[in-house]
Amino acid sequence: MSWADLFERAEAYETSVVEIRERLREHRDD
Amino acid sequence: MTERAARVVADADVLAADLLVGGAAREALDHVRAHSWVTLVTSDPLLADAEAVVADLADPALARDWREKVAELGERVAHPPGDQPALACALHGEAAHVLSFDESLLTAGAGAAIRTRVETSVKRPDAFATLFDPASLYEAVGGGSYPGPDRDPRA
Repeated sequence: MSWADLFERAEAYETSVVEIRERLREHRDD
Repeated sequence: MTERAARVVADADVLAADLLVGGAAREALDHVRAHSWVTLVTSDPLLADAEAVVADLADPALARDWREKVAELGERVAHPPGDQPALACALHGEAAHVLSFDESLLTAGAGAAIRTRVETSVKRPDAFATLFDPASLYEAVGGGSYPGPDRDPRA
């Protein structure tokens, strides 16, 4: 699996740095 | 400047943003992917954090495949459980740069406190991408004249 393949698959999802920060904070608080 | 200058930690938010958002996180990590002599320092807890976020915001299969791929790219270090994974990676992996979107790590006060324990600098990915100068860094770590990128960052 190449990085190009991974990035292409990831394009199906819409998210943002803010959302990533929130989920990471929740995950680390658990 | 030593080899430490070519060792980079990306916090879990930057790793996830590289995959799911692109932008500055991808631009910063493209520098790592494009140069075999730049080392991404990781740990199991750090990768587990990023994998969990990717699984949550995208899907578990993509998260698993991503983790397998990024593990190939990085040098894994061990650190005590409960440590902030990115800072622990910098400490145990002797990395000069930590890339993060975490505002609590990016203030001047936090930077000064971190440097009392770890010889590293926490930067936003866009700052790292802008400041990264492969030619001078290659020369500084003893490589001689910079030959240009030696890896395909999309391979």
